[in-house]
Parts: sequence; C-alpha cells; structure tokens
Amino acid sequence: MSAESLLVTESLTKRFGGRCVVDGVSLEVNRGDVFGFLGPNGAGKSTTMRMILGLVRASSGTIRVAGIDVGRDRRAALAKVGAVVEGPAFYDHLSGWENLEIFTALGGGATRARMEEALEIVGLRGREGDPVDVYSTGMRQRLGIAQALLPHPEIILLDEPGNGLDPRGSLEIRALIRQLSTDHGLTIFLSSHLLHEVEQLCDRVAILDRGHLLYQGSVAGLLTRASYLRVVVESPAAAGRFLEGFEGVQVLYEETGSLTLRLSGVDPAWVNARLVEKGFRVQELRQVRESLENIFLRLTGGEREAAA
Amino acid sequence: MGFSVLIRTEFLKLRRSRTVTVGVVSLLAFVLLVLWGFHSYAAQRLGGVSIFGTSSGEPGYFNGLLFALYSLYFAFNFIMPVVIAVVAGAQISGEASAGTLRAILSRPVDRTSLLLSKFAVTAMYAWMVITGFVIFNLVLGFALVGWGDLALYPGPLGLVEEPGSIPLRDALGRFALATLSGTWSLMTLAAIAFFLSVVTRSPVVSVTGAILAYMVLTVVGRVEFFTEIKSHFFTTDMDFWRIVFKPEIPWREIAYGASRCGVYIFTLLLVSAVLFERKDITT
Amino acid sequence: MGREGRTIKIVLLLGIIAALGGVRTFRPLGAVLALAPAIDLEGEGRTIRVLTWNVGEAYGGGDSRAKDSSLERVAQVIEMERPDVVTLQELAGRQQLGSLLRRLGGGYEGFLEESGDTDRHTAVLARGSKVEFRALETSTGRGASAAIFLLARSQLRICAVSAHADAWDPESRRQYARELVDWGRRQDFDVVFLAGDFNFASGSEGQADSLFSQNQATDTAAYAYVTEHFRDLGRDGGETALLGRRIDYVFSRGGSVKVKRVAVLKGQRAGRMDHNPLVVDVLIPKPMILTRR
Ligand SMILES: Nc1ncnc2c1ncn2[C@@H]1O[C@H](COP(=O)(O)OP(=O)(O)O)[C@@H](O)[C@H]1O
Ligand SMILES: [Mg+2]
Repeated sequence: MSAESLLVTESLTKRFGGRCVVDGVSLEVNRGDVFGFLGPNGAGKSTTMRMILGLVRASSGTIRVAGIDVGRDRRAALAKVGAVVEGPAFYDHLSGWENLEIFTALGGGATRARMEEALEIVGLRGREGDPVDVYSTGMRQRLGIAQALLPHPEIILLDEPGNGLDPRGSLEIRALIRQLSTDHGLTIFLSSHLLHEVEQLCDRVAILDRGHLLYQGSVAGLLTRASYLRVVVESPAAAGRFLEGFEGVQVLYEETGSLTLRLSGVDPAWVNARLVEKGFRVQELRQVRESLENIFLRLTGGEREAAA
Repeated sequence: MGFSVLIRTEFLKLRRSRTVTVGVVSLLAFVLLVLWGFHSYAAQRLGGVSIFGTSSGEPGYFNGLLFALYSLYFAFNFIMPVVIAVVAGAQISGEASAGTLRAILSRPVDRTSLLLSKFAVTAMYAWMVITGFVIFNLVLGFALVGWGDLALYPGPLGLVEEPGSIPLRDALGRFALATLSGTWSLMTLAAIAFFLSVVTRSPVVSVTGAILAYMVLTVVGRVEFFTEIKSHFFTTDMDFWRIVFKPEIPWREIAYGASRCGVYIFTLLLVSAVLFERKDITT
Repeated sequence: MGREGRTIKIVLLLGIIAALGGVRTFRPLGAVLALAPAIDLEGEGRTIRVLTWNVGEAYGGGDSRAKDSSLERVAQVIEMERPDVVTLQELAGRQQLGSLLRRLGGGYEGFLEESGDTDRHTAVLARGSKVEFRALETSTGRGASAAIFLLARSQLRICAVSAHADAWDPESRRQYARELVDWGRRQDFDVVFLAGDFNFASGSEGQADSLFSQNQATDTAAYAYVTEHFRDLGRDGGETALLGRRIDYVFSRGGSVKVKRVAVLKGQRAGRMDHNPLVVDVLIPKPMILTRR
C-alpha cells in the first residue's frame, strides 16, 4: 500500500447465506484516480460499495479509507467519503434543497454558500426549490452528486452513475465527473457495467466477475496486455507448429495466410528472426489491439485469469 | 453531530408527508362524525332538544367536556393507534424500501442514535397529534355544546361504579394529563411497529402487522371468554391512559400501567437497536 | 458501534430495569385494574318471558280439565313464543305434562304438582340453567308448582310459581293467594314470579248485586294483599278469559324489573277452552345482573 492510496480493500469477502457474492477482492484506489469498477450485472459491484460504506458487513477482509479502518471507526472513515449508492434516493415530497439539508445535517451540516456552490457545480441551480418528485432521472443523479460533494469529501463513490440516462444525459454526467476530477481534485471510484463509460472516464480499472477480481491496473496496461501479433506468412500451419515450441509464444489461431500470436517476454523482431532463420517467408508483421469490449467479454466470459 | 440534529431532520421529513396529512384529516373527519353522533344521541335523550348553542344556558350532562372525553375515548380505540402505527411502522422499513435508508446510513451517523431519534420524533408526533386532537375537541365542544362539569356514569368507559363528576377546572387538567398518558400508551404500539419496521423490508408488512396485532387483541380482549387471559395482552396495558379520568386520580394504578407499557417500550427499542446495528442494508 | 450508540443502549437497559421495578412496586393491591372492559353482551339487561295459561275447558260440558287433544295446540303456542317460563293450570295429570314435554322436544324441563286434593293440577315448565322444582302446599287443599333456576350467564336466582285458586270460594282464593305471597316473601330469590289463574272477580266487571259484591270485596282484599308485595305485570293486557274476565295474572317481586311487553294471545284456544294465554316480557336490568356477580 503506497502513501498515495486513499481507498484500500484487502481480501474483501461477502457471503449471503453461504453464497459468496464478493470473493477476496483487494482493491487499491490512489489519490487523484478516476477508478472504474467494471463488471456485468450481478458481479458484486454494489455489494462491494455497500461494504465500503458500512451498509453491509464484510464477512471477512478489511477496508481502509485514508488509513481509517471502516470496520473499526465507520463514522470517521465515512466523513471522508461522499457517495451515491445505486439509484439516488430522496424524500420525494420534499424539495431538492430540503433533501440536501437533511443529508448534510447527518454529516455535520454545510453552509448555505456551500450548498449553493454544490448546486452550481452539478448545474441544478434554480431548480432546488422544486419537489424531487418532478425531477428527471438526470436531475436526481446530479442532486445525488451534489449531496455527495457537500461535506468536502476526499473520495466520491458513484454506483453506476450512467444508469437509466439517455445518451445525452450520460454524456453530461460523464462531463460532470471529469470536471470533478480535474477542477476539484476529487478522487472518484465509479462502478459501471458499460465499458465505454469506463474507457472514456477512467485511468485505472478493476474488473469484477461473479465476485472475483479479474484485472486491476491502468486502462493502458489492460490494452497492452491484450495486444497480439498478426503474422502474414506463406504456410501458417507449419509456422504455427514451429513457433509453439518457444517459451513466451502462444498461438491463438491460424487463418488462411496468417497467424495470430500472443507474446509474453519476447518481441516481434525476435519472432521475425526465428521465422526467417527457419526459411519461412514473412510478408508482414502487425501489432493488433483487441478492442476493450472484446477483452471485457473474453475476461468475463468464463475464461478465468488471475488478477494482475 | 448531536441527537438534536437528527431529531430536526426527522421532523423535516415528517413535515408535509402524506401519511401525516392523511392521519390528521382522518382524525378531523372522525371528530365530526363523533359530533354528529353525540348531537343526535343527546337530542334523542333530551326529547328533541338540541344541545348546540346552549353555552349560555344550563351546564348539563351533555357538555363539551363529555363530548371531548367520548371523542378521545373512541379515537383511542381505533383511529389514533392507526395514525401512530402508520408513522412508527414506516420509520425504518419505509426508508429502506424507498432507498433513502442507504443514503442516510452512507453518511457518518450512528445507527442507534438514528433509530432513537426516529422513535423520539414518533413520540413527539404522537403527543402533538393527541394534544391537537384534545384541543380541537374541547374548543369544538365548548363552542357548539357548552361548558359544565365532567359527569361520569357507569358505562362503557368503566371509570366509575357510581355516578360522579369532575369539576370543570380539574377536568381540563385531566385532559392535559391524558395527552401524556395517552402518548405513553400509544408508544407501546409504536414500539411494536418500530420493531417490525426494523426486521422487515416492507412498510406494508410492518404497519399492518402492528395494526393487526392491536386490533385482534383489542377485539378479542373485549370478549368475555378472554377475561382471564387478557391481562397478558399489551392492549390491556395500553388502556391505562384513561384512568386519569377517574374522580380520584389513581396515581398508583397509573404508575403501574405506565411501567408495564415501559417494559414493552424499552425492551422492544433495545432489541430493535441491537438488530438494526447488525443489519445489512441491501435495499 | 459508536460511543453514542452504547450510551443509548445502556439508557434503554436502565429503562427496562426501571419499568420492571415500577411494575413490581406499583402492582395494585387488592382490586385488579378494570382495564379494557369487556363489551357488554347483555345490552340493557336480560329479558325473561313468562307465559301463563289455564288450559282447562269451560264448565258445563262434563270434565272441564284439559283434553289430550288440546296439548298439540299448547305445544305450538309454546314453540312459537319460546317463553323462559310457562305456568299451566288444569292439567289432568302427569301423562299430559309428559306428552307436552315430548312434543316440545327436550327444550324444557317441567314439573306437575299432585299434592293437593283436587283432580286438576298446576304445572311449570322452564328452560333456565340448574332448574329445580318444588311442590307448594297450602292450607286450602290446593297446591302450586314452583320452578327455581339461574338466569343464563348470571347468578340471579329466579323462582316462578304456577298457581290456580278455587273458582267458587272467594275465602279459599284469598287464603291461597296469601299463603303463596307469604311463601314468596320468605324465600331468598332475586325475582319471584307468581303466575296463574286466580279467579279474582275484582274490579268493575260483574254485576253489583249484594251476593257478588260480597265476593268482590273478598277478592279485592286478596288482590290488594298480593299487590302490596308483588307487582301486577299483566295489567295492560286486558281480559284473559271468556266473558271479559281478567282472571289470569303474572305477579312479580324483587328488583326493579321492567315490563317490556304484555300480550293476551287471542285465537289460540283449542276445543272448549275458556282461557287465552297471557305472555309477559320482563327486563332484568343490567345493574341488577352485575351486582350479583
Ligand atoms: N441481500 C442479499 N441476499 C442474497 N444475495 C444478494 C443480496 N444482495 C445481493 N445479492 C446477490 O449478490 C450478487 C451481487 O449483487 P450486486 O452487488 O448488486 O451486483 P452488481 O452491483 O455488480 O450488479 C447478485 O447475484 C445478487 O443476487
Ligand atoms: Mg449494482
């Protein structure tokens, strides 16, 4: 754990009546990160977030926020966190302003100026007097973010912020989140089942599937890890058999006239040299990047890999 | 953050809540119904003479105080418990099903403090509802029916064995006392509703559960077969509130009834607090 | 769990202890709290229906005692009215009572007194709980039948006497009535009904000739004696027998019973009967029932 890490979980596990919903998840979110918590529906993202917020008790494992153990001193830890868990929920018969009053009071209160500032940031200024009843999904989401911002948190947890929004609404929310990170220096931990949302917003990701952490690291790292070498060669079948004999080379598939390889610890020039030595006529060598979508589907599609 | 902040926010939530509006409106409607019944009954008993507008005349048996007492008594049989149970029973489960519970508990609040502030607000709400109800009845009774001593007859109230009466000034004090004993009595039901709201996810279940328990035991307790076992019903203990209207205030019996209700209230709250502290909020 | 939460829990625990202490300390001595009173299933009180009927026949056609053939009608009237107590006069004997009870299908218990030196008998039928019967004797040679029972769901002891005074001798009637009245006064019943055919020729009816007026004077004195100690409940019912005579009575004693209904059932006579049944509904007020608990 580096001095920079703001949110750290260690072997976090949750069982609901014997069923393991989150299994030994260790996350590390650094100060200043926009951290994407990616996984299909039912992966255990919300459960993990609820454990971080102390809503659900962890079956085992620890959570620290800014060095404070949530299990030991939930209130001190939560003072540093702003959150919108699943759909933002409000007292619908009260106005947006009154809702903000209620939620901030629970965290020690906020000045009028601060409340106005938060509304300004999320772009709800002028609508705070309306009952939440009449708010659109996007407005509710933004009011939720305003609520999370009010107590000057160090980190904001957003659970599927794009859910239920139309394309324009999710665009606006993404812009808002980016702004929170760049203009206000907030650390953001957001979950999503939508890859492009994470891809556009985040610099670091963790991928969760059926309670297991499949990957954690930079988005760039995820892409490098998933790069391939496409070799256009005259007799791909024979070339493939030959290359399989080497350490660090995995043949993924052959097509007519080409071969796709995954390399680890060797570089394309080395592969080229071996093929030429053996007398294969290499016409083209090309680095191919699998789309994130594909990686995601492949990772969560049953083929398990150890977390990086 | 102090307890008082929690209380303030709980009040803020109750303000303008539909449950409260419906409760208050139905209580007012109920008073008018009682007034109608009282008026027509008195007219029949007095041979067609209206009791309305007699404030200047003879203070009779059918006066504003008697009206208020009967109105309060009948309200306590059914409508008042319902009005309180819908608020108490929705306190946790209502917020759980609306999702606001997870939002609140994501803030740095102490769960037990939150629970207790909710109960305290329910109690204050009950006191305000009862007090408002009593004042409304007395004002209406005085304005329409007139003043007089509170006459008591052996009857459904079971307060006296022989006819007696409480002087006007004294009687007003008794009504004030009844708002307190009545609140404490209703808190027994509120604690049950509260407990149910901690252990269930749906406010429908916790509210109807509490109301059903109250109704069944009340009705059953009124049937002669159950005379022997009704002393074990919480509804029997709750009935202590109205003995403040006995001609001689039975302090000892009041203390006894209040203590029995207290056992229910404190035990249910403690159990609720312990359960709530360990509860996973998954809604 | 925060410190605040722990403090609150300790306060709640102290609250439980204090409340339990309060329950122990303030437990009412003696009298139990009358909380949550039972809904009053009695309403205003309990009603008792008494039916009295001389089921014999008019004189002049041989045997004037009840005919077996009339019993069907008697049973029908009882079935129809469902009285709590039936007092009958001029039954010919036990067989007739037995036959009547059989027709009534076990709803009633009955008793017929045979101690007197006449060929016609009084009988009493009742459907209360814990019914006992007693034969009453008088010095006139005529007896009476009494039923004693508890009013349902109460501790009230009720006695009903079926009486039949001599038709011809006013002195005998007076003596007979006096002895039954005195018997009723001596007993410790909550309510006593004295019902039957007293043959009093009192009041305005009848001719004013000297012979009759002597009889009337005697009957008037007898009636006065009865009503000094009993209430005449059937007063508003009018004539009970042919020729405009009101000679069947239901008297009561004890408590502040109220008469709710008096009816002489005309058109129920069978054969050559000369009496109509008299029905009286009396309300035993609730305070009276309750004080006996
Ligand atoms: N209270 C609960 N009891 C049992 N299972 C639960 C409960 N809450 C969630 N789960 C299960 O845990 C799994 C993860 O749920 P969740 O954390 O909501 O997933 P995500 O947010 O990633 O879609 C789901 O399979 C869900 O059915
Ligand atoms: Mg989720």
